Formats: sequence, structure tokens, C-alpha cells
Amino acid sequence: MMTRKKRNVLIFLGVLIPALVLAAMGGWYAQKHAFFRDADIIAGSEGDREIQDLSEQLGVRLDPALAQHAWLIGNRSRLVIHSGAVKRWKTEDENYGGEEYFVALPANAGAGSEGPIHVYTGTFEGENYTGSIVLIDSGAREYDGRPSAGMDVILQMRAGAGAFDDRRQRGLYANVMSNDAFWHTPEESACFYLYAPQENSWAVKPAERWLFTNPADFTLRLDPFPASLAGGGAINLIQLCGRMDFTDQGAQSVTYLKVRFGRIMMIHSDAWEEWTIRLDRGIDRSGQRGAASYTGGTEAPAGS
Amino acid sequence: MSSFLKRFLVKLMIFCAAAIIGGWLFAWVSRQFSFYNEIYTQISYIDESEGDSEARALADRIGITLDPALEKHAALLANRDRLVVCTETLVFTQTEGGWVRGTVDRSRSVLSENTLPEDPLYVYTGGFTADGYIVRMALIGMDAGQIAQAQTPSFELAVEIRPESGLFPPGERAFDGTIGGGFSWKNANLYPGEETESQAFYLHARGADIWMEKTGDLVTSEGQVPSLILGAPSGGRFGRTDLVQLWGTAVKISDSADTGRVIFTLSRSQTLWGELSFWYPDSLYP
Repeated sequence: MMTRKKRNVLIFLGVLIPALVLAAMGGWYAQKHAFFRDADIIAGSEGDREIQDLSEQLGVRLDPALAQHAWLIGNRSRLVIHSGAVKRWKTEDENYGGEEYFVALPANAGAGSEGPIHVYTGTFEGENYTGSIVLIDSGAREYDGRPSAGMDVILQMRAGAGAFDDRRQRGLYANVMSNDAFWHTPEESACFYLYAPQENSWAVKPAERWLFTNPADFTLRLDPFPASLAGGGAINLIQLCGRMDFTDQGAQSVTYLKVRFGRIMMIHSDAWEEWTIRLDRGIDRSGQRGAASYTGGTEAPAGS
Repeated sequence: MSSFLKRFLVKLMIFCAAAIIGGWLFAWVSRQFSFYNEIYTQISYIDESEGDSEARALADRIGITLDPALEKHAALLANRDRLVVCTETLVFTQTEGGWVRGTVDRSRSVLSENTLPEDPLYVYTGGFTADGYIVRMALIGMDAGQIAQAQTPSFELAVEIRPESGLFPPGERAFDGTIGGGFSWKNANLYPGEETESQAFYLHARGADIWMEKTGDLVTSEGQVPSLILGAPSGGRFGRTDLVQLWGTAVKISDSADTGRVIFTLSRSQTLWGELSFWYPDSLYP
């Protein structure tokens, strides 16, 4: 026979446990909906065969419904694609802070205005993700009253298992670590795109500027982001589309783009993975291991 | 309830109240003194000077309090014949991220070649209001070593923070100014043996007519900005803090580029609060 005390404990637990579960669900729901409050949801367009081919060539999903992609697609006849120009330079064991990749760029990269648009691509692998980077020599643009040399950047992380793990916290950070380059102001040009294939929808979020260490380390981030859209469709890729400007038009420069995926936490250094992409602009490293001066890469005729 | 239990409870309440008040007082005093106890910095108290009408007129035009008794202010006032003040050319806008972004808009200032001094020293001014504070900035001498006597390209930046309520509230935390984009604060590591301090943090106490000057390598309050200034050169005075100023000299450290995009960030309690970014040198602007 159940004692009164035992019965009271059971009643208490019977109320407490569902209440905790409900509170957790409510918190999760509130957090998820707070994320989408300032997000635009854009229906994905099918795109034609040519766009799909271009997406495959670049290694990132392109959609004419998105503003940043539309510019690239609209200029596809001018593109000269250097596939695999972003190469691995140092392994994780050789480089503190993850693998290092490099791309050799000509000294006038980012300064042109007409003619061919050079596009440099590369991929990097994470534990459960595949990263892709596309650097687009979109030429000089007006910035704060003067023409500024720069490149458009598409950075994509695609979940390896078809969708991001719902149990893990996710964030994407992209940090320009250089005195010679900086992110264009985020509100004007940088966005995060999250794609859910089942719904064929994109969630668009403005990039947030984050002060990590000092102003020279200019970081754009989206942290955290959910594993599914508000309608429940699982997200399988995230993209950061932005523009990086160089501080000098024709000088040699080395710019480091640090990519971190996961949550940056003070106590758990294994809570994120990171990669460094080094942009050598006008620098001849032909004497060094695994690198070469700018040779033009694997140029492909536009439209092929 | 037994009388023993009553006495025990009363004592416990008194003890708890004393512990809370004592803990709060200890924390307050610690925070106040954290500002004074920083390494690599020097603190001094300076009596406010009357200043002349010309200094007051210049302060009005720039929008920042100037006192010839302070070294940084005196250096600027000594160059007053060369100054070309471009008022409200630092333009600030609120961002979606909750902080304020600023840049230089030279087109707001009409510069007539006929009225320019032979060796002009440009001063760009502007400011914003946020979170109950009025923030004013002055960007001085964007040309090689004009005011900092540095051999490399440099400029001077002054920031004044003034509470809208008039006085700093107790519990206000640190302000920090950092510089990036090929420039760094000029400090003893870069220029060993140089006697003049390049960075200064000034606090002004209303009523006591004193300044507290903290000089060192960093343009930061590090610890909590004290709401009370205790002490004076003549001793025994104290007053409530009504404004703080950060003055810093930045020098170019990057050799790779002839031009630069300087980014100055002002953080409040380790959170991004304001940013001023601009091309260097200012001849890049039309």
C-alpha cells in the first residue's frame, strides 16, 4: 500500500517533470522563432541547367532568387573560373588553429572594373561538414567616397549527413585578420543564407558584426542558427555572402580569412572547428613548398 | 518559539544584513580602486585652469572640453593658428546590431583655399548620443607626424563621453578605445625612451574643479570609471565625475600599403558601442 508521503512525492514528480519538459519545449520554440523574427524567407527558384552547372563548377548552391547570387549569375558569360585555386597549405598538425589554405592572386586583384571576372574556388573538409569558398574578383566599387578594390566572397558549409545535427549548437564565424583588408559594412552587403531542401526555401539573415579581439580582426557571425526552418524543413547548408575590400589598390598583401564553425566558447576549445584561408595578393612564393606564384590557375573559358 | 530561538534568529538577521552591506561596500571600494591600481599607468591630479576665451571658443567649435592645464589639450591649443576645424564631418548612424557606426564626410565642410592656413592641421568633429551618454569625437591631423612628432604617418583621436544626466552613475564600467587597420596606438614598445606619454585618460570632477589624468600605453579605463574623484593636487577635495576623455596618438605600423582603412572601436563594458572608420590619409577623400 502506498504511503501518503510516497504518493505526494509521486504527485510532485508527476507535475514537475511535464512542467520541465514543457518549459524546455517552450524555450526551444521561443528561441527558434526569435531567430526567424528578423529573417526573410525566400522561395527557392528551380534555376536552369546552366545555373546548376555553374553551381557545380563553383561548389556552392546558387539561386537567382538571391540578390548576391543573381549578380554572379547575370554575369556568367564573363566568368573565368579557377577551380581548386584555393589549395591546402598546412595540415592541422602543422598549423595551430586548424588547416591552412592559400590562394595566389594577381597584384591587381579586385581593382578592375570591366572585362573577365576571375573566380577562385576551393573546398575544405570538416568533421561532419564540407566547406566551400568562392572568391569573385568583382572589381573596384565605391566605398565611403572613393573606389575600393575588393572581392565578393561566398562561404558555404554543407552538412555531411544531409542536415545539420539537431542536438548540437551551431554558429558560423568569418574573420578577416589583416591590416590590408576588411569586411564591407555588414548591413549594406553581407548576409547569411540558410537553405532547407525539403521546403526549397532560403532564410536570409543580416550578418552581425562581432568584436572578437580587436577591430583589425573584423568578424561576421551568425550564432547560433537552428537546424530547421520555422516550418520544420531541415537546413542542410549555410552560406555567408559578403565583400572583402583591400585597403590599397595595387600593393602586395597577405590577408587571412579565418573560418570557424561551431560555438566559440572560452572553456571548450573543441566546440568549434576552424580553417584559415590565406589570400596572397601579388606575392611570389614560387620557392616555397606547395605554392607557386600566380599562374592564372586552371582557367576555363566562360560558359564552358 | 523559545527565547533562545528568537535571539538566534535576530542575530542571524543582523549578521546577514551586515554581510550583505559589507560585501557591497567592499565590492564598491574594489571597483573604485581598480581604476587607480593598474600597472603601466600613472595617475595625477590637476587643478582646472580658467583658460582664455580663445580656448573656450575652440572647445565650443570642436565640441570637446579643452583645458590648457592638460598636456594633450595644450598641444592642440598651441597649434590653434594651424587648425582647420571641419565641424560635424564625423557622421554617425545607428546599426541594426545596436552600436553606432561613424565615418568621415568631408563634403559637409566647405573648405576655401583662400582661408586655409599655410600648414593646415585638419580637425574633423562629430558625435552621437546613445544609452544616456553624449559622445563627441575629434580626429586631428591626418597627415604624417603633424601633431604627434612621429616620423611615421599618424593622427590623434579625442573622445569625450558625458552623461546626459550630468553625472556619471555609480557602477559605470570600463570604456575602451582600440585601433586597427594598419595603425596602432603609439606606445612605449614602439618608441622606447620617449618621455612624452602618447595616451591619456582624463576624468573631470564637477564642483571640485579638478582633473584626474591617467597616462599610459592604452586608451582604456580598464577598471570601472569611478563616479567619485577623491584627491587633488592641494589635497582634500573630491567631486562627482561629469565627463571622461580618451586621447590617443595612433601611428602606422603596416608597411605593406600606402593607404589604409582605419577602424577605431569604442567599447563600453567590453561590448561594441561605437565605431569610427575612415580612409587614411584624408587626401584620399574628394
